[in-house]
Amino acid sequence: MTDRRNIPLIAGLCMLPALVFQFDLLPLLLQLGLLIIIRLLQGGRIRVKTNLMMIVTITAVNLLQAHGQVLYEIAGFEITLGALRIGLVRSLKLIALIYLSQFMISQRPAFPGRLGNLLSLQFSYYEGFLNSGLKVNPKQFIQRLDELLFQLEEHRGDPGDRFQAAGSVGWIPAAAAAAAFWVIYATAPLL
Amino acid sequence: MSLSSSGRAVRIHEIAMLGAFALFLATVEYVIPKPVPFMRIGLANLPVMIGLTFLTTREYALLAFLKVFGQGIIHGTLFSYVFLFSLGGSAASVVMMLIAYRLAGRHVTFVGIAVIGAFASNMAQLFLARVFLFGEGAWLIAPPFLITGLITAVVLGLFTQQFVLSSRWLAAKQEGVRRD
Repeated sequence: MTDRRNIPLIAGLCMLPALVFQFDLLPLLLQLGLLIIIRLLQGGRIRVKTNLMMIVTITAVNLLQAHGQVLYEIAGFEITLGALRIGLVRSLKLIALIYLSQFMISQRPAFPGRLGNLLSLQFSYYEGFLNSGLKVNPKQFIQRLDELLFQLEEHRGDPGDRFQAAGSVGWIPAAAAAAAFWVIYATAPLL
Repeated sequence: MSLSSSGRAVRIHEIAMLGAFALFLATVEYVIPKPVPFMRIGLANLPVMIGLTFLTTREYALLAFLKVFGQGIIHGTLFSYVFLFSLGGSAASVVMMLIAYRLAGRHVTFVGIAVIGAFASNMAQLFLARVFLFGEGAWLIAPPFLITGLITAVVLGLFTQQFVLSSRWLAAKQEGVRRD
């Protein structure tokens, strides 16, 4: 796997265990911060509202299971430190995994073999759908969809590769990001 | 069923096209605001249900794989829990919808098949949510999760039924399969 497009994928695979096995809140926040910086450097967007919704929802459901020291009591409902920590760790880890995953596939890694070709073909048709301007409008949707399917079929045989990849990542920054990730993981007990 | 090499190439394009259609609908669903982040409408299941009517079991499994894997790539969730949720939910629904269609296709409408698929998918996702995200609290969100899944499945099933009855493209595909 020497293809440059696979650099983020390889770096991400190296970073993955340091994130999956991270159970401390502060180091997890640092790892998430690093991933957000990488995402921004690659020209990606950060969905603040979606992330906040995820944090609130996952933490709220975890708070339903009281665990550890009681912090507050609201109308008979106990907010416990243990449940709060578990909820925050789970939600932040999920968000961090999504950003790591986005980084890993940011260059559209080259998947090998016939399956790789099939995926290319799928993305070529996907672009056709995106460019078609097809709207999910119940009125005449089936008719318009039918026309589009016939139309796309006529242009078969041109898989192309017009996927918009993010900014290129070299070996050195990718290795530096992976190293920083593991440094945070290794120093977690000190934080 | 054995296809000629040109017939196989055409079929590969059809699977890729349905896979792309699933991605397109998944993208549409991704941008629709939802009251709860994990709520799903399941629009991407429309091409999967269409595939039931003319694909072999193997081709159908390939389409399901393209849907899940492609969604993982497009949404950037390929290496996260979200992909696991998508994979688990899709695998459960695809297997159950296939069994329902093959065993009772003539006696069950697409509304029934969509409901069976949605229930299987939601149960698989609840199980995964219990393991990875919510713990035992997952069962507390089960009732609203299953009810919204049921409602969206009925709507999607009605639409699929309408599409299967009136699509000229699908009729051409089914005719092609009969000829092969």
